[in-house]
Amino acid sequence: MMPPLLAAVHILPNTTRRSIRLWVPLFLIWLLLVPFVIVLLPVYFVICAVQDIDAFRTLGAMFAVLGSLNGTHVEVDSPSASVFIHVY
Amino acid sequence: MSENRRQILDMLARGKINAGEAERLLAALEREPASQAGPGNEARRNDTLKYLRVVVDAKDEHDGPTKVNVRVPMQLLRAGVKLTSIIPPRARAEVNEALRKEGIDVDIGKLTPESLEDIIEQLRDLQVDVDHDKAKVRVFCE
Repeated sequence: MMPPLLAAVHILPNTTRRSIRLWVPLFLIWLLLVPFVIVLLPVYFVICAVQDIDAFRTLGAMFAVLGSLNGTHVEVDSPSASVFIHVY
Repeated sequence: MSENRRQILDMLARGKINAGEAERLLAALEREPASQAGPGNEARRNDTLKYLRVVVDAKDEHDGPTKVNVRVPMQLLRAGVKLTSIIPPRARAEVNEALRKEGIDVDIGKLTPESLEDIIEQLRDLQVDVDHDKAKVRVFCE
C-alpha cells in the first residue's frame, strides 16, 4: 500500500477573481521526513517500551492509515468560496 | 471425499439410514455449495464498498447555501481499526469503561479485521437521510 503521492487543493473565492490552485507533492514531504524518522526512531522505540505499546504493530497501523488516504475527497461549495481537496 | 459425504456413507454402512435416505442427503450436500456460490453472492462479493460518502446541502441564514461533499475511503476505516493496537492495555480498559457508561458495550481490544469486514458489509444497505428545513444530509456507501 503506497502513501499518497499528490494532493490537489483548490480554493476559489467567489468574491474575487484570484483563485489558489495547489498541487502538493506529498512524496517530497515523505522524502524530507525520512531523515527525521530515522533520527527519532530510537526515541519512538523507547517511548513504546515505556508505554507498553507494540512498536512494530503501531508502525504498521500508521503506514496503513497513510496508505489508505488515497482517494479522499473533500468539496465545500459556499457563496463566499469553494474548496476542493483531493488526495491522489 | 468430503467429511460430510464420508459420514453419510458411514451411516449407510452401519444401517442407520437406508439407500434412499443416503441418496437424498448426498443430493442435498451437492446442492448446498452451488447455492452458496450463486451468481448473486459472487457479484456481491466482487462489488466491494470503496467509499463512505457524506453529502450535506445546507442553507445558512448568514452564509447562504452551502454544499459539502466528503468521500472517505473504506480502506481508511479498516486501517483505523489497526490503530487500536496503539492504545495501551490500561488506556484500553478506560476506553471500554467510558463506552460502557455511554451504553456502548464494545471491547475495542476484540475488534478484529474480520468483525470490521462484517460491519462494512452491513453498511452496504445503510443510507442515512436527514431532511431538515436548514439542511439535508445524506450518508451512504458506494
